[in-house]
Amino acid sequence: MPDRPRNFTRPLIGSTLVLRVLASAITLTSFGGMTIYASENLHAANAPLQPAAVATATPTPTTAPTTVTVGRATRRSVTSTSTAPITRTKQS
Amino acid sequence: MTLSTDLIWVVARSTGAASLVALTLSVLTGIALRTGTFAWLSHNRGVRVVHGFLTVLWIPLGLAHVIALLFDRYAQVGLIDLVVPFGVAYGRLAIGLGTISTQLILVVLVSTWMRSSLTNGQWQWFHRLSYIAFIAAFAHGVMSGTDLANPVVAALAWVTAAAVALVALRRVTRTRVAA
Repeated sequence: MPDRPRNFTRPLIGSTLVLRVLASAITLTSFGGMTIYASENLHAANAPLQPAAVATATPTPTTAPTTVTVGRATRRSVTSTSTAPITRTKQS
Repeated sequence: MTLSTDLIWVVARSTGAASLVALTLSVLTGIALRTGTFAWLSHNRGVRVVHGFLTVLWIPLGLAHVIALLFDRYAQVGLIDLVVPFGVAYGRLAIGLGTISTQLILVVLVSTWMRSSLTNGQWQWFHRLSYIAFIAAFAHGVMSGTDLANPVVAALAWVTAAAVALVALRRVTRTRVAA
């Protein structure tokens, strides 16, 4: 029987099945952990990339009625008055 | 936001992070084949088996990540963006790096499947593209990854990147280990 080299060390895991299970466990743990974390934190305000579509496509419910009210009030004032600035605006 | 939109967003993030973890393990075991870095953990044959087995993990996760992003209305990634990088209006560079990484990984995968019809030198050159693919994937994760704003997730990401860098440095400085 040939002698083993002096610096020969037996590896911690000899079975390839155990190695595959270990790799699967690491990957699936990260998948599960990230799924739980992502579902609990849907939006990260300090994320490097923010969804630009939110600002343009989805109006916030708190500001929208205020804007509409102001708009209506402005339109009412425009239609019910005949002051010089509004006339100029219409001509331009 | 509807439940399906939330679900798509969660799936996109979790599969992206998990595929990066599996890809990191794949790169680590691939480099360790030549350096014997994991000799304390297992013999070289075991490391080789795990390196091949990891494709079973990161390919489906990566595919799920891409498919989820195709359905995500915020990311606005289209089929054409899988072919032409840097065409996305939203997060152009960050998502474009993901496209580059996907394409390079595909080249590496196809060259591995065609290994019998390539010379060893050709196959090695194709396989070395996985280093660039990993760097592009990591940069994609750092630049667009929502969860990397979390210090714990960021620490894990940088630790894995440091591990790859150290093993790669060892690969450069050490001689080849017999398989």
